[in-house]
Amino acid sequence: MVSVVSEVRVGLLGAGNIGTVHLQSTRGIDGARVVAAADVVAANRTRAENQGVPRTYEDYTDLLAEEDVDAAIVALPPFLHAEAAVAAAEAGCHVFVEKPFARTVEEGRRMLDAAEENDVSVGVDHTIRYQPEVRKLKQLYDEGRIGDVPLASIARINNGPFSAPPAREPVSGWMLDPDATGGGALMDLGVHLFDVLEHFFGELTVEYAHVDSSMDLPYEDSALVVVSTEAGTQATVSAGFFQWETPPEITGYFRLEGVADTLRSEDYLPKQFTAYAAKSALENVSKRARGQEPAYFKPTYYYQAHYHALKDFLDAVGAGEEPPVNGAAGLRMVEHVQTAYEMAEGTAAARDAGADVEVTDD
Amino acid sequence: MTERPATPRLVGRRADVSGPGLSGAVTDLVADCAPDLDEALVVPDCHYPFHPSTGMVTNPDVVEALVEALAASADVTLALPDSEWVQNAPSMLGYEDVADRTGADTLALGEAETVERVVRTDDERHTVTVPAPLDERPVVAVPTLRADPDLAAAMVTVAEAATGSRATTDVVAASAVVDPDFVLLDGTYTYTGAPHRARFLVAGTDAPAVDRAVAPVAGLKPKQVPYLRPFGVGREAIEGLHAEDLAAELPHETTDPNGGEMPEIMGTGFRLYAKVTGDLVPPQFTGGSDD
Repeated sequence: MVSVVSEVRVGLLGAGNIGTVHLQSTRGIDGARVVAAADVVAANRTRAENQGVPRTYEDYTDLLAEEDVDAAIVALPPFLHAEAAVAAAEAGCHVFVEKPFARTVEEGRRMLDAAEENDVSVGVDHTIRYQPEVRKLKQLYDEGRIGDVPLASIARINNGPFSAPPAREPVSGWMLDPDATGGGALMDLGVHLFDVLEHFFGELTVEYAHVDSSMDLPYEDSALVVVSTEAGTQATVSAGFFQWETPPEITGYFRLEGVADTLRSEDYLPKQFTAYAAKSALENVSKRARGQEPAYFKPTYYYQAHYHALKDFLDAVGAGEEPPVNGAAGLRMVEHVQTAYEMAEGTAAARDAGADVEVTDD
Repeated sequence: MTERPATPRLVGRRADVSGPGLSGAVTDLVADCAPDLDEALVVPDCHYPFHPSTGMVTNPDVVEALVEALAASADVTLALPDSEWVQNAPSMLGYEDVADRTGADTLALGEAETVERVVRTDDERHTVTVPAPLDERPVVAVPTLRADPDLAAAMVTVAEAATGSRATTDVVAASAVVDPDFVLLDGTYTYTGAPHRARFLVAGTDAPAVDRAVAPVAGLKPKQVPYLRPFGVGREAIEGLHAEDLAAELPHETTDPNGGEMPEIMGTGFRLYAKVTGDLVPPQFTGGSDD
C-alpha cells in the first residue's frame, strides 16, 4: 500500500496555533520538511514564512494543486477536516489530521474511503497517550506492576474556547458553533481520553453517558461517560470546558486502580514546571555542547507529545508502514463520542419524561 | 431624570445568592433606596461569559430579582451590551431566559442608534459615542464587584456597556454622559483575584459614590482607582455594611493581567535558547493568531 520515501515533503494546511506546533515539530524530525503552508490569515502565513517555509498559500487547494508534497498536515478547524483530508488524499498525500478526526462518523468514513481509494495513510494527532506521565503509566501497566486493573478514571478539563480572567482574546465564532466543531467538551477532549483508554485496555464499549452545560452554551461543557473495555477494565471518562486554565498548570488525570496498587498520572508530572523547564533547558544546552540533538520541546513539557505523535506518523510514512494512531482509530473515537451523545440524549429524554433511568445492554 | 439628594446615600444588605433570601433583599433595597422611576433600562455586567459564580460578571439571579422589583412601578427593559470578546455573551449568561421569565423587554445595545458626546476633563476634550437609549432613558446599573486586577464596579459596567472600553478616559467620559439613576452592586459573588461567595448587595443613586464605597472591599483605596479621581476620592459609608469587615472576608490574590500567558521577554529568552540548542519554539513565542 505505501512505498518508502527518502524525504517526506510536507504541506501544512493551517498555520495557526497548532499548525505552528506541527511546523516546528517537523524541523526536529529527520527525513521530513515542510515545503509549503496554507492559511487564510495573512499573519499566520507571514509567521510560517519567518520560520523558513519556502512558499505559502491563502487557499490550501492551491497548495495541493501547485506543490509536490508527500504528506499533508490538516491543522484546520474541525469543519474543514473532512474536506481538506479528502482533497489531500485525492492529491496523493498521506494525511495527518488534528483531533477530533471528524465531526461525524459519516465524515470520518468519507475520509477513510478517500484514503483507501488513493492508497495513502491517515494519522490522527491524539497526543495524551504521548505525554511523558502517561507513557510512564503505560510502561508500568504493561510490565504488570499493579496486576489487573478493574477500574480506571481519566479526565481532562479546561476552559474550552474561553479565557481565564481577565477577558483578553476574542473567541472565534466557529468555536461556539456545534455544526463547526462537531460537539463540545466530549468531542474536543473526550476523543483524547477514549484514545488513551483504548491504547491501554483495547476495544471500548460506551455503557453510560451524561452531558450537561453550566451555562447557556450551544454544546455540553461537561460530560461523564462510563466505558467497558476489552481487558475487562471499567472506566469513567470526564471532560469539561468549564475550568479556568493557566498553562502549564492544567487539569487532567489518569488513574488505574489495579489489584496490587494504584497508578496516578499526577505522580509522574513535574512537581514544579518552572524548575523542570530550567533543568530541561540546561540539559539541552549540555547536549548541544556534546554535539547531540536536543530533547525537542522538553522544557515546554506538553508540546513533547505533539512532536512524538507527528514523528511517529512521519516515520511510518517514510518507512512505508501504517501509522500507529491511524485514521481508523480516529474514526473509532468519533464513533464513541457519537454513541455517548446518543446515549446521553436518550438518558436526558427519559429523565425529562420522569423515568427512573437505567441503561443496560438489552 | 429624577432629582438626586445632595449627599449620596448608600445602603447595603447581606443576601443569599439566589432564591427568596436574594429577592427579599433586592426588594428591600429598591423600596429603601431607589428613586421613583416610570421606566428603567437595567444594565448588568455581562462583558464575557464567565460563570456567574466567579463574581466576574453580574449574577443573573440578582438582575432577575431587580427586574421583578422595579417592574412593580416601572416599565423595565433589560439592556444587553455587546461583548467585545464573544458574540451572544448575554445569551450564554442566561439573559434571554431572564427576560422570558420576567416579561421584560430586551434591548441589544449594539444595535441601538448612537449619539456622540464631547466630555471635557481638566481641559482635555474626549469624544464618546454611546447608544442613544443610555443617554436618553433612566439607567439602572447592576455591576458585580471585580478586581481583575483593576477595579470594575458601577462606572466600568456603564462604560463597557456604553463604549465597549474600560480605559480610564472612556470610563470617565462615559460616566459623565451616562449617569445611572440607581445602582445595585451585586456582591453575591465577587472576584478579588479569586472568586468568593460574598453574599452582599450595595444600593445607591450615585455611581461614583458606590464605586468609592466598595473599592476598599476589593482592597483598594479610592485614590488608587484612576477613573474615580475626577469624581472625588472621598468615601461615603454604607448603611448596614462595613467595608473593611467585608474586605477581611474576601481573598485578595494577585491577578495576572495576562491570564497566565508568558510575557514577551520570556519569548525572547526562549528563542535565544532555541537558537543555541536547536530546540523548537512553541507557538506562543512565535507570534501570529490562534485561528
